[in-house]
Amino acid sequence: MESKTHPGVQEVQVDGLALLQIIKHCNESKGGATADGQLLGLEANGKLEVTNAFPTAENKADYDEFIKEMMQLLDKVNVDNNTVGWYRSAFIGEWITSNTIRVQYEFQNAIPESVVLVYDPHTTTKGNLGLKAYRLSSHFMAFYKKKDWSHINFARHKIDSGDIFEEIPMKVHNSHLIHAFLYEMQEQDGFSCEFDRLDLGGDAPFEANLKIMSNSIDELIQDQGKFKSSQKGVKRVRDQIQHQLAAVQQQMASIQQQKATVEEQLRKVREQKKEEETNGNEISKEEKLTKSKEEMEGKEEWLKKSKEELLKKPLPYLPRLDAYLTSHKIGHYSAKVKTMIGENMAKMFEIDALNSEL
Amino acid sequence: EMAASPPLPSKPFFLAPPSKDGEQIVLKVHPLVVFSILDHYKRRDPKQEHVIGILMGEVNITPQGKEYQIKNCFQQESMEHKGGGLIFDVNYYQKMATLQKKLNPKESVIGWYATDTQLDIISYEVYSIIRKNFVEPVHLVVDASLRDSRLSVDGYAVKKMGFGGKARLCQFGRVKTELTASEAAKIALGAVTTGGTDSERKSPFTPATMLSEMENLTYSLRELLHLLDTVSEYVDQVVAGKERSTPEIGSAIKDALAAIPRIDMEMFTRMFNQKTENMLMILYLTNIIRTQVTLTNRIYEVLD
Repeated sequence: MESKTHPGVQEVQVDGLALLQIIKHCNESKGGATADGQLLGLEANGKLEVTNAFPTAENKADYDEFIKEMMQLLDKVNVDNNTVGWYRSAFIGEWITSNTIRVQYEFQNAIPESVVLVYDPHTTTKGNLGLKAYRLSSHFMAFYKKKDWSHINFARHKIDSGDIFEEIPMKVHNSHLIHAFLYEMQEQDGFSCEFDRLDLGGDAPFEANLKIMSNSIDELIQDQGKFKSSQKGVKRVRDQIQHQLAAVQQQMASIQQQKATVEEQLRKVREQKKEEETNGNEISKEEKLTKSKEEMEGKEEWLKKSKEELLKKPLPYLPRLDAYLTSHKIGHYSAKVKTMIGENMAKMFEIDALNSEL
Repeated sequence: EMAASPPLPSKPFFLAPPSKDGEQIVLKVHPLVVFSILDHYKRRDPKQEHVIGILMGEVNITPQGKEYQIKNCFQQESMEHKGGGLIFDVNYYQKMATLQKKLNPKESVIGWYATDTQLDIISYEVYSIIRKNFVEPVHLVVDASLRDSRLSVDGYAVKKMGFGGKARLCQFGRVKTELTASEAAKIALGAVTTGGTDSERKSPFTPATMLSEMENLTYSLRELLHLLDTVSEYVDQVVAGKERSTPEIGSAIKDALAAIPRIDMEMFTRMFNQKTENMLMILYLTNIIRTQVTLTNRIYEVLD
């Protein structure tokens, strides 16, 4: 899959070591809290190699100190200490939040090839490993910079909800020594989980999935309601602006009229001055007229400025990012449900086949 | 204290004398630890022959004795000891130990590891350094030189022997070491060994792709088929008189066959249809939802 962000990185290669570390951390974190941490590694030949990972400390206060120290110590034992991304645990699609986007954006800004590995401890049962690598598409990165969340801006940039994250193919890699160890381990009993997959399971995972989807749909409906009322608000503000603009226009027209009359008078006075001798009254009249002309020009300027401001005033559009994320989530969950259905149907037919043999 | 009498060097294959009940030490090693040790070994300075590091984990008291769960480890910057052998920088050790404690408050230092199969006085020095933090550290030796075509993982504990109430010398005795892993870890390891279709992977050493669930399912089914073939072949051979069978194998086969549930055809068809209908309904619902959501999004684009 062509990566639009960083043309260099086409796939992510995770070391077995990093994989086990991530799994250990995520499985040990208490209850539903999300576990997250940093990925270390290096980028080479279009592949991003992740060689190590360590969790974020509980205490965020002295986290920077912690990272610095950790990197120093790791460097002494020749471990790669380049951060290449971060990982987090999540249940199926729950990681699609604006927080994740914010963190990933900061990472990608600083380190263009960084990725986020999402590990799902709940799906990693019965022989399936729930680990995927994602990155923000460059399309979306440019859009995020503007921080304009109105639906107009979304439409202008043609951001589809599926465009936000892009998945990067992932491979797992191990050194030869580790393969030697794996061979040793396979000889031991109880380490294979091949046949766990054939378990039919029940309807529980489907119910959970559908429940989450219906929650997301409720969110979307709420968002639609909000959007409707915000559109009304936008219309109101726009009408207001129109009114004000009209008033300003009127004032400008009247002032221009007044200016015209004053200019006429000024001209007449100047003509008179030429014909007759200079008279004190005439001079002060001339001065007064010039002054009032300047005043009016000043007012005209001010009116012009306020007209510009009114036109520039931002309309209170509803920020749409959350709605997009929710629809993305829904897309994710539906893909997951489809895979589960596919698996289940396959197993059902296989049982049917076996049964008819007996 | 022990400083007076240096320990006798002991050969790795010396088996510790059976200890009294309630004092047996068992080491349970998680695969992450071995992976980390091997990774450390791979990254070492070319001048160094071996590496050394610290083990972390928990100690559980079981009816048989003590069980050391070795869950984690970290590498140590090692230095050559003047007497030959490896020792490490105590400053580094303390710094790293504090950092790790912050990350995993439940785990503590419970021992150390080395890739060097020689256990001698240096090991004893390491032992005394660690003893300051933890009373009974254990030692793990991972033989990365692959002697005898085996990557052995052995654990040792220090046995003190003496008389007159005072311990006079200590020896490293081998203790029972087992590999254990959490379910998720096993799955990860499974994915690592079996990933990738046959056409793509030229050798087991190329990086493995993460297989989709359907491919995994196919693999499992093929394995099952393979097993069934092996067993039926065996039974044919026995019937033809070419192979002998034992009562254990026979009863195992009998148990396996008996485990298949007998379902009446009509009930099975009903169950099957019901399940299939459920699946199809969910599929239909999902498709509708997705279409609806996409449509809604498109409308926003056209507005205004």
